[in-house]
Amino acid sequence: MAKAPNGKIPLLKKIIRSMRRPQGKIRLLALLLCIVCSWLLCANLFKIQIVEGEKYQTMAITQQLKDIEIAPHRGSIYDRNMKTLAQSATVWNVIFEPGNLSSDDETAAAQVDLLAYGRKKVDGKMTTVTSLAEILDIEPETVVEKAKKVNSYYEVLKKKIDKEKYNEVTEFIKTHKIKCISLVETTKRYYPYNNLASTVLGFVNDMNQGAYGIESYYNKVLSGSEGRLVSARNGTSGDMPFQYQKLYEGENGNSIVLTIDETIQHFLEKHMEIAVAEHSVHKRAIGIVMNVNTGEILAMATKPDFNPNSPFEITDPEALERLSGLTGDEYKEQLNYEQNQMWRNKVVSDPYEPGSVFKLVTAAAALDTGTSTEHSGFFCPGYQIVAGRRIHCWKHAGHGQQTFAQAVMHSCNPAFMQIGQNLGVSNFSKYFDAFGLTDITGIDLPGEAGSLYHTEEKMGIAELSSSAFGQTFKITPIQMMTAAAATINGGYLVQPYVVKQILDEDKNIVESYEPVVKRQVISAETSALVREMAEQVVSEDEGSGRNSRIAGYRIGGKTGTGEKLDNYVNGEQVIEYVLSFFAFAPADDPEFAILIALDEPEVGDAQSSTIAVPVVAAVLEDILPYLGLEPEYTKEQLEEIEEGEVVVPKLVGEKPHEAQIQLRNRGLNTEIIGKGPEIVKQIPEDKSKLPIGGTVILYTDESEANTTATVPNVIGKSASEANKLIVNAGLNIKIVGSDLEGAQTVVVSQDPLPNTTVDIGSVVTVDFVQRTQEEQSETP
Amino acid sequence: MQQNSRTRQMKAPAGRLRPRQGRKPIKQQGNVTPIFIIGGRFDMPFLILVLSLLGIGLIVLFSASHASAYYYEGNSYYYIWRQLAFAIAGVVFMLAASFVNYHFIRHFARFLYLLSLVLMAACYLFDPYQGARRWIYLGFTNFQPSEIAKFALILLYAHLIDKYKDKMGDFKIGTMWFICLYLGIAAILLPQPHLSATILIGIIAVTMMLVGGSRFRYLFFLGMGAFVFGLIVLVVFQDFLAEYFSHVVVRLTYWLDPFSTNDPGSYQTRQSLLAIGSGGLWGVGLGDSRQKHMYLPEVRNDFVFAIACEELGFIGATAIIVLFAMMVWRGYTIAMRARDRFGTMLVVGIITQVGVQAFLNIAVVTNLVPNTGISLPFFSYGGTALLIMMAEIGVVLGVSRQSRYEKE
Repeated sequence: MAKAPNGKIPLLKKIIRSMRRPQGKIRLLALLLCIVCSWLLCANLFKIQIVEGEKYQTMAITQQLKDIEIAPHRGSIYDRNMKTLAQSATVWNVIFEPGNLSSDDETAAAQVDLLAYGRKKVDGKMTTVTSLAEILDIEPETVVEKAKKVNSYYEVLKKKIDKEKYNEVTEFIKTHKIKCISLVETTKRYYPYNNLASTVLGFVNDMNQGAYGIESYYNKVLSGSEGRLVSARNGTSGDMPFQYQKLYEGENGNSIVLTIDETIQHFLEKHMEIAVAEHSVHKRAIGIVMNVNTGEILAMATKPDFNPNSPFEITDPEALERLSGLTGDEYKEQLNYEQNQMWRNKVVSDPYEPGSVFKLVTAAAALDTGTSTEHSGFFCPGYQIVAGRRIHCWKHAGHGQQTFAQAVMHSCNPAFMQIGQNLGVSNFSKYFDAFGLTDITGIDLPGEAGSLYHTEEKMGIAELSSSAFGQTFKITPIQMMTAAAATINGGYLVQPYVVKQILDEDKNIVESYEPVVKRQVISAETSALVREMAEQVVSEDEGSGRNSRIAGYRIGGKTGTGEKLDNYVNGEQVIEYVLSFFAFAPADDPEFAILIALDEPEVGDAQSSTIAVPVVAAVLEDILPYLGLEPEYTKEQLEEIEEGEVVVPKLVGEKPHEAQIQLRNRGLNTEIIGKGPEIVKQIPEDKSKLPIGGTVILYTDESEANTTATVPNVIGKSASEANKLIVNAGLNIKIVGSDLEGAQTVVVSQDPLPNTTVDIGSVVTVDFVQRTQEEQSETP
Repeated sequence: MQQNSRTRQMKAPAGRLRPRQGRKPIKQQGNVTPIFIIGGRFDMPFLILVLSLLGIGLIVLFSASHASAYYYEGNSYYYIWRQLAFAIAGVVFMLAASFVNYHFIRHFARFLYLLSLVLMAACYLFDPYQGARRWIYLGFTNFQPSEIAKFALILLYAHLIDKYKDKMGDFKIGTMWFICLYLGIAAILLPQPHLSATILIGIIAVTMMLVGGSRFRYLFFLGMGAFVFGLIVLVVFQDFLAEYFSHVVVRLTYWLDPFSTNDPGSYQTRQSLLAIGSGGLWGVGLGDSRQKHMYLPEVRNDFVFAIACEELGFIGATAIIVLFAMMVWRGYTIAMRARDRFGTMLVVGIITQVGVQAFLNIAVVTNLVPNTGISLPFFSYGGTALLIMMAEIGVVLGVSRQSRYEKE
C-alpha cells in the first residue's frame, strides 16, 4: 500500500479500501440513504412549502372555498303617493358545473343524458323522466355543449327563474342526486306599471346594476352593498362536514320616493301616446309636468319608450320597420341605435329649438328691463328685415299693429324681433344666463345635456333677432320648462328634481330633498304681467292657445313651433318642426306647468295651436281635477250647465284630440279609450243629446270598443246618489220628469233597466217624482 | 508510525467495538439451530424509532383518512380502527419474530422464494383492479404477494451471499445467479403490471449484491449492456413501440410540469403539491387539512405523507424524514454489528427495503420522481403490508439481539 509521506493514507484511497469490506459498503449505503436522500427530500419540501408555498396555497384555497355573493336587496322606487314603480324580487340563476360531472366518462355521459334528455337507467332499464332542459325550457343541446367544458364550474343554463321553477329544479336535483347543478340566488327587477315613466326610471341590467334614469343615477343608493358567504367545500363540491364559513354582511339598498305622481304620469303618457299616433311623430314626443314653485317633477315622459321589464325589446312600429330586412352587423348596429334611442330621456338629454315658447323669456326680460313695456306697440307687416335679410312672420299676411300682449297672443315673430332688438345683446345674454339657459338645470337624472347658444361676443343683430323668438339656439326641454316657469311663478328659477325622499328598509326617511330656488330672475310684477299675457294666449279668441280652454279653469300658456335648422338628410337641409305647448294653471297663481313637445310630427303646415295645444288640453282636462284644483265657473257658464242639453257631433274618423276640442267647446267631457290615431267608434252616437257635463267615450281601437258596463239600480235613490252611481259605472245620466227644485226627489223609473249590459258612455234616463206625492204614478 | 499502526490494529476490534458484556454465549446444540432465542437484548434505539414512526404514522393516517372514511363509509373511524388493529397485531408479530432465531428461518429461504413466485402468479387468476392484477383476494382481506416476494428475495439473497461468501467475486455465481433469481420475480411482476415493486425489488437486489461482494464492474457492465440492448430494441421496434412512447412522454409531462395540463393523469400530483404547499412552515394544524376532503385521491394510501406535510408543515414533515433517516441509520448499524454475514445481509436487505420505499414514496408525493404506486412504511393504510413490514422489523430486532458488539 502506498502511503503518503506523513504516514496517513489518502482519504480517497482509504474510502476505496474500506469499500472492500461489507462494513464500508454499508456505511456508504447509510450515508447515501440517510444523508443524501433525506437532504434531497427536505430540500424539495423546502422548495414546495416555503419557496413556492404561497402559490400552491392560493391555488388550493381557490379550489377549496366557495365564495357566494349575497346580492343585497335592491331598494324599491315609489311614486309620491307610495305606489310601487319598481321593486326587486328574489329569483335564481341555474348554474351548471361540468367540472363536477363524474370523472368516469361513461358515468358522466349518463349524467349529461339525464340532464339534457331525461334518459335514466333504473334497474338496468332505460326510462325517460322530465329532464332539466325541459324544466328550464332550454335546448338539450345547450346542456350537452356546455358539458364538454369539463374544467368549468360556472356555466349559466338559465337566468332568473322564479320560485316555482326553483322548486321544480330543487326537486329534480334531489330525486336524481345531481351534484353538478347549483342554484344561485339573485334578484329580478319588476316594474308593475310596465312602460310608465320608463325613461325616468331606467332599468336594471343583468348585473343588477342600474342603467339609465333613476336606476342609474341613484344606483348606489338603491343597490346597497353586497355581502359574501365564504365557505369551505370538499372535492366533490359539497360542503365540508365541519361548518367552516364566514359571512360578510351586506347592506340592503335604500328605497326612493319620487316626486312623480303615477296618475299624472299616466294621463300625460296616455295623451302623448295618442298624439304620437295621430300625428305620426317621427322623433318621439316629450312631456313634463312640474310644480312651478318647487321644481318637483310630477310627470316626465318620452314617447315611444320601452318596457323596463324587458328593456331590450323594441315595440315602436317605426323602429321595427327600420329594423326589418336588415341582417348581420347592419342589424346589430341599427338595433343598438334604436335601443339607445328608446332608452334616452329626451327631456333632459336632447336640446331642441324651443321656438315661440321661448318668447315668454324674451318678453319677461324686455318687461323686466323696461326696454319694452306692456303699452309698447309693434307693427308686423308679415316680415322683418334684419341685417338685409327678410325674415317672415309665420303669418305672411302680417299681424298689423299690435300691443305687447297681442304680440304674445299672436306669437308674432317680427314683434319679438323688435322686442329683442330693443332689449339688446347685452341684456338678452344676461337674462338668457339668468334664466339658467347657459347651464344645466342640475336635475337628478343622468345624461343631462347642456345648451347651444350664441355667446354675447358672437351675437350680432341677426342672431339676436332670431334668438328673441326662440330660434338658432338649442336648449333642453327641462331648461325650457324651468325658464318658462320662472317667468310666471313670480320670477324664481327653481331647480327641478325627481327624487323626494330616500327611505331605508323599514321605510324610515333617510334623506328628504327640499326645493332649491336658485335665484329670482325677474321681479314679481314683471312675472304677473307675463302671466296675464300668457293667460290671454288661452282665453282670448285670437290667442294661439285657445284650444286649451277648459271651462272652470284659468289657464295660461304659450305655443311654440321650433324650426329644426340643423336637420340634414343625405346632406340636404330638410326643415322639420318641433311643435310644443307650454301651459300652466291656475293662471293667476300658478301651481303646475306642463310642457309637451312633438318632435317631427307629420302635420303639413299646421301650427302648434292645432297639434300640440289639444294634447296639453287633454292632459289638463284629466289632471286638473286630480290635482285638487276645483273648477270655478262664471255665472254664464253655470247657467249654461243648468240649461242642459247639447247634440253630440259625429266624431268617427277624426283625430281624438281634435274631436275632444269639439266636445269641450260644447261643454262635454271626453274619455279616449285606446291609443290609435283616429276615432273608430263613439258613444253616444252622433245626433244623440247629452246634458252639458256629460261624457262622450271615443274609441280609437276597435279591439277595445266592446267595453261594457252594467246599469246600476238607482230606483229609489236621490238625484245626487243616482248621478254618482251612474257616472261611476261609466254611463251618462239623463234626467226627465219633474224639475229638481225642492230637492227631496227619488228615482221612480230608469231606462235601461238595472243590470242590463250596455256600452260604456250610454245614456241612462231616470225619472223623478216628488217624494211627498201620494199617487206614485209611473211615467212612461 | 509503526506504533500508530499497531495501536490502530489493536484498537480496531477491541477499542471501538467490543463483545457485549454480560452476554450469555448462545448455546449451540450441535448442528441443530435453536428455533427460539430468549436471551439477549433488543437494540432499544431502533425499537423506539420504529415505534415512534408507527405511532406518528397512525396519527397521521387517522387524520388523513377520517374525511374519506366519513364520506365513503359514513364512519370517520372506519379506516383507523382497522389499521390500529393491524398495528397492534404487527407489534405482537414483531416481538414474536424477534424471538425467533433468524438462523432458523434460513431453512425456508428457497421455499419462500418459490412460494412467492406461485402467489404472484396466482394474482393473474383474479379480476384486475384499475387494470392491474397485483392482488390476491381472500374475501375478508386482500394482499399483494409482492410484499412477500420482497422478503423472500432478501432472505434468499442473504442465504446465498453467506453460502457463497468466497465466490461472490465470481461472475457466474456472484452476479449472474443472483440476477437470474431477481429476473424470475421481475418476469412475473412486470406484466401485472407492477413496475414500482419491480424497481423497488431491483434496488434491494443490487444493493444486497454489492454489499455482499458482487463485483461492481460486472454489474456496471451488465447494466450498460442492458441499457444498450434496450436502446437497440427501441430502435428496431420503434414503430411497434410508438404508442408506448407517447404514453411515456405524457407521463413525463405529468411529472415535469403537472400544472400544464388538466388531464386526470396529473390530477393526483397537482392535488398533492397543493396539499404540501398549503402546509407552509408550520402546517395548517393537525386534523385541519382541507385537501383530504375528497381533493387528493388515495389520501390514506400512497399520498398520506402529503397530508402530513399540509397539517404539520415543513417542520413536521422534515421531522418525519429525519426519523426515517435515523431508523435506517440505526438499522445499518445493526447490520454491521450482526453476528454473522447472513444476519448482516438480512438486515441490510430489510433496512434497504424500508429506506428506499420511504424515499421513493416521499419522492413521488413531492413530485421528485414520476408518480408510481408505492406506499409509505408505517404510514400508509394496508393491514397485510403493515403486518409483513412489522415482522421484518422483528427479524431485524432478532438479529440485534444476537449482535456481537455494543457501542461503548
